[in-house]
Amino acid sequence: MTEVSPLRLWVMRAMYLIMAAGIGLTIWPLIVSHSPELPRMTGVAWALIGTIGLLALLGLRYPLQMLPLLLVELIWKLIWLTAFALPRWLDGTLDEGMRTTIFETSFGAVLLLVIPWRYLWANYVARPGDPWALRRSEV
Amino acid sequence: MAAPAPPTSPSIWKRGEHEVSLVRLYVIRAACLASVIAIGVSDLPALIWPDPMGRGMITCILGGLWVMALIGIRYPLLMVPILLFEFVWKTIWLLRFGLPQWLAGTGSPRLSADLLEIGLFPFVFAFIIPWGYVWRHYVRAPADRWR
Repeated sequence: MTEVSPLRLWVMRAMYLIMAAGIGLTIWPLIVSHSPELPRMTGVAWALIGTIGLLALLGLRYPLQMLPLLLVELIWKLIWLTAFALPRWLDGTLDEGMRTTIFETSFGAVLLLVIPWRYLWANYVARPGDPWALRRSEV
Repeated sequence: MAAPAPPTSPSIWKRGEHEVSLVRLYVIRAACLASVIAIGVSDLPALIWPDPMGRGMITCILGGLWVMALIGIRYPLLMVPILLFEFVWKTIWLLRFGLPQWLAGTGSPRLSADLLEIGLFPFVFAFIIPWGYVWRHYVRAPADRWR
């Protein structure tokens, strides 16, 4: 178990707070009241993003245990910027909506500074996996 | 002299001194493997060869979940937040979008498929999630240090 500094925990908590507040203010009102006729994928997208905001609240209390939430945030934004936004930018076919999303998504880069990489390496890569069998002493 | 009675026989079903039982670890691993395959087949191609005009945000979130599912095969317990994520977003969808549309009679083949592919899964995840572990580690456990 690699120790994480209290400062790092506070930085992570700030990130979770921003996620919870931002999504709580923008997406949750839409989830609570929306018109019954809604494009299909809009409902899916709101539910997905709304859940990120909800679980971020849990991250305020347990920043390290909720690390997978920050990882999903970082990964989807990186994929989106490279796979979807970059080709359109190179083609010069970016539209206004896309520019706004690029602007918002780029904030995800902050996660590179928030995520405790040494802790991540120690616990998500270097540590032996969870057991695959009962230990010999238990059989 | 008889040997002292062995401690209660270990079992793959009981958690004993561990966080969860071995069976539970395998149930979570199976769910992760199923996600890796399902997302890998249905959504990864769209990330490797993106639709040049698509928006793609949902596909990208699924791409993130795919990576987490991969990690979850090795470390099932680390990925409990992702299991909760799946459980919660599908429940929200069912209660706020799927069921109301169905009850309003705005049925379509697409909605029926979604009700099966999304709306059914909260019930599946309810059996996969190790609720005792969630209770001990995500509710009762003291918060990470504040100072």
